[in-house]
Amino acid sequence: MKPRRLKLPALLLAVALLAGCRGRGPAGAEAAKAEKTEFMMDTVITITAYGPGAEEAVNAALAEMRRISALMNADDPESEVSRLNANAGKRPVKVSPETFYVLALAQRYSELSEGAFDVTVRPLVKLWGIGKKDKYVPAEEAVARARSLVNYRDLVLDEAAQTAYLERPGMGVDLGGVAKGYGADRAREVLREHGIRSALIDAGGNIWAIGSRPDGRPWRIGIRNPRPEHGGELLAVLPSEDLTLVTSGDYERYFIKDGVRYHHIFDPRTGRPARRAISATIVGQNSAEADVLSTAVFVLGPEKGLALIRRLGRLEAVVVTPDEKIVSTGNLEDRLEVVRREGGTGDAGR
Amino acid sequence: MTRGDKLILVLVLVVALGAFGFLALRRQAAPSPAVAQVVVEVDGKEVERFPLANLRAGERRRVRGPLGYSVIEGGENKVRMVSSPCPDKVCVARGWISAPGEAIVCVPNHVVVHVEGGAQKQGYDALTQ
Repeated sequence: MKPRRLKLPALLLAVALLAGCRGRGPAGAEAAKAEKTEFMMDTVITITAYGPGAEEAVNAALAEMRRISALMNADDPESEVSRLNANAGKRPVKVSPETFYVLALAQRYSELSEGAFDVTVRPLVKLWGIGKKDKYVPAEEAVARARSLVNYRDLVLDEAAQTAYLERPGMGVDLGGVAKGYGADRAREVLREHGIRSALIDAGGNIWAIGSRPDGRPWRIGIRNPRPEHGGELLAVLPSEDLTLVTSGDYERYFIKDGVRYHHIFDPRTGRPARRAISATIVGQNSAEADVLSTAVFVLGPEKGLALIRRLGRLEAVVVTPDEKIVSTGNLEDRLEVVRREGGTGDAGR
Repeated sequence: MTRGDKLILVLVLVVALGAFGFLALRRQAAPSPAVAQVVVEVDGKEVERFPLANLRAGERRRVRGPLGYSVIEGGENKVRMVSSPCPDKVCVARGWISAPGEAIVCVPNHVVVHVEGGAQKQGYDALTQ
């Protein structure tokens, strides 16, 4: 009987459909996930990737970041940057194309920010030793001496010879404000070469949101509230697809002495911790650039900082002022979900 | 339907329902436990995991990193780092954490303590800071 003979295949089909339809979202939503954390570049780096070959891709991306760290870490005596610093006032040093590129980028932004960010800030970093010395506030004349050794114009980059030279003894380059961003950019390239289209790179708070989440929705990237005791841990959330977010804040490395907060982001023009902002976040598509600019905007403060970002175009910024107001560039105002609880005391159990 | 048809039908149903159950169970074991968990990692490897509620207020646990012991302490459904053999004590200054996604990181001693799962919705995938 024909109608009867149909029942079984129909039932089979129904069962198959039922079983097949209980996945969430499109195919790939259940994609393989790989996540790895490593300590390098003086911070903690986590890469999460989704899709076929995710594990191999994450391993390769971390290896790439290790390679860049070895080139650019000023605290590693074997790095190219350390050789450049050791030869300050003596002779030009040949560097790899990548180190040359990052030095040139950092110098260009030193100029654009009129020295608010300065790639040669190392003498100040070493003098203060925030996070390495115990609540040490240097004397005025020591600060003045270190400050006189900070000047991005005295870094001579010779494109033809691929050399870098610091003109005066005692000078030093510090790529702490750019190497993590450059590393994240390179890690992103490696993930893409491995065919990964959905991933998150967290390089010590520098975020690369690659593609969208496995379920197809945009990644939700939180911006930390610089004062969690006022309104909780989270300042705002930005739905992000193929965006990098980098934040500079005065809460990352600091100490408080006699009621004054001393942190690790210096204003090269005063030689002291910058005071015009307490947090600055840059949103863009190049993490090295966003890394440098988060420092520059933090030092410049909301007015001049946001003006610089608008002048450059193609980037956005969110700044938290010392009185904890949130100011951002126009394009972000509609997209940014501010979640800080107003008037709350947060949950910082003191 | 012949007897053979029925047998096939029953078999198919059993297999299908079995697969259902298996998949459903496996999904529930996905990485968001209903109870908030404290996860302790050293050098990127998980060394300890326990429900946040199990850590009594004032109870301390030692975590061994390359520099020595970092010490975590429980509070009322929260956890903090009370001491660590690092120079900067950023991890100690971090204070209490309690919500999923919050973390205490001691870079010099390679220790990460974070909270996973729990009823609270995290609301974000990553945090720029």
